[in-house]
Amino acid sequence: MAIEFKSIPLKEKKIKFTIQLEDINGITGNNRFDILDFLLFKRREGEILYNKEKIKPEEKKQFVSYVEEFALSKYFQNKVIEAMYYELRRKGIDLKDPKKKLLESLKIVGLPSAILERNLKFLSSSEKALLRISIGLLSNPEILIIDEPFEELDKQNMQKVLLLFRRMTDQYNKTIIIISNDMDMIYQYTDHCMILQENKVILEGYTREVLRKSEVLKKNGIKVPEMVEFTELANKKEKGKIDYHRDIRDIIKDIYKHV
Amino acid sequence: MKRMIMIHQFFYKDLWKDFNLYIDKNKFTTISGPNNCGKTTLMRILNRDIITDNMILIDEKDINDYSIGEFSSTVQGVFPLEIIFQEKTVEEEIALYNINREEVGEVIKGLNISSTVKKQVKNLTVEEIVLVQITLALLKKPKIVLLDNIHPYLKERTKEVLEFLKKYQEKYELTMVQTTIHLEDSLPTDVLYIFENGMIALEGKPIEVLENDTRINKIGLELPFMMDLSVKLRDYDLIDTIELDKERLVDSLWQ
Repeated sequence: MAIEFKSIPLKEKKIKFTIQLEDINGITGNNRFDILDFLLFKRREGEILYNKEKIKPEEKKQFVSYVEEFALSKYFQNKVIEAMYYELRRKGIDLKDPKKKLLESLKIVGLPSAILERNLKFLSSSEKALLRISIGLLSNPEILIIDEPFEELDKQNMQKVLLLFRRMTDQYNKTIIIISNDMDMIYQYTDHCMILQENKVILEGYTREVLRKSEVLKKNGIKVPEMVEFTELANKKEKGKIDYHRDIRDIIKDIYKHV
Repeated sequence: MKRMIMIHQFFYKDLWKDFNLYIDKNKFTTISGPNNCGKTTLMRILNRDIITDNMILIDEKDINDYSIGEFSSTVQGVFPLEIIFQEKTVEEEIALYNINREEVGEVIKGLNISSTVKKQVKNLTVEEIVLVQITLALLKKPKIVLLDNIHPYLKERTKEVLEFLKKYQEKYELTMVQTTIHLEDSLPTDVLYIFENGMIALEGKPIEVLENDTRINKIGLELPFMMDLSVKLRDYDLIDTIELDKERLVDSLWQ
């Protein structure tokens, strides 16, 4: 289950890449925003295979939703309900009963309905972060693309959002695409990832495998995830006995066994 | 040590009941804590965006007794992207705040925004807007600078900006207060307070506060990876001292 993008123009080059459906995908690197219009099915160049079937971008355009990292900042003088309506209009989302939909999407992310009447300026960082996700869900998208969803969240809220994403992929067959420059987050929480750097797809595939290629990452000026870097150094001493884990407790267990 | 900000027996909604906080003069202080612990609300109160009838002393004077002009030359708050520019270019906007060429040049160089200065304000990126906000706040030459969660906006440049701010704060003997959820951002600063449930849960030098890994995890904050790993390995008696450098940590584990 995948969307294959072929012969996609990136600056003066043509690239191809794949988004795995019903999973959490991560996109990173300095060109990470340059393919956004293709992911949003707004551009017609290249070829798109949706589950191996060739499609025209416009067929899928309404099934994808994108939430920018600072989408709400420009409304700092407005009430939440006004900001949400502005966003709906800006994105051309036409809903029969927008207020009902707003309340439903707030409920999904665990925000109270009373937040609609509050001024954005006085929301906490986590409320803004959850509100962004709820705006992304308004159109009930098959694919949710979101910039830095965890940036302002503490552990508890981050786990809550991760669980929501997992429920979306596993129970509702949705696809999540996280755009981020946080390599540690991509390593720990995504299933697949792609690195777009200097107009090339540097690496793509299963996150656990791809982000272990530290030499390729370093060569291309990409930060190696801390857990990978430490494991690699440890393995130089311990000749490959420490596994590549994504949870610090597992790394400690391995060290304990081998020290 | 003289206190620049004194919050004494503070009550505010359900957030704080009999809360006390004292911020030292000429120090760079970090306030951290889980979501909704009141970090931004406190900054709003210190910036007088939220007025309360509690006693808050700013440079030994009640916050409510300052005139508008006097307050803005004492406290400058940076709340990311909350700015309505009055001029067309960054250069013109800066001139509204400070026209001393040397002072302006120092901040522009320090924040590495010389290419941003000629730009039209409408064409600025999010990162540039926040850097311009910091520039304007510093150029007002206040006694206190409040930086509310600026780090997500600065991305890869966070570290270099914090380093510059620390040097600038020391040189001009400013009192700086920043909020963040990312504890590694506290490392270049002098003091770290971690809030939890309307109280100060932990306080002290950042590197020392971060050793309380169990408490910090319980509060719901994430420790920087190397700090977390190092503290846990020490607690398991696998190493003797905290080591933040990966190579040295590996060496001390498998010496």
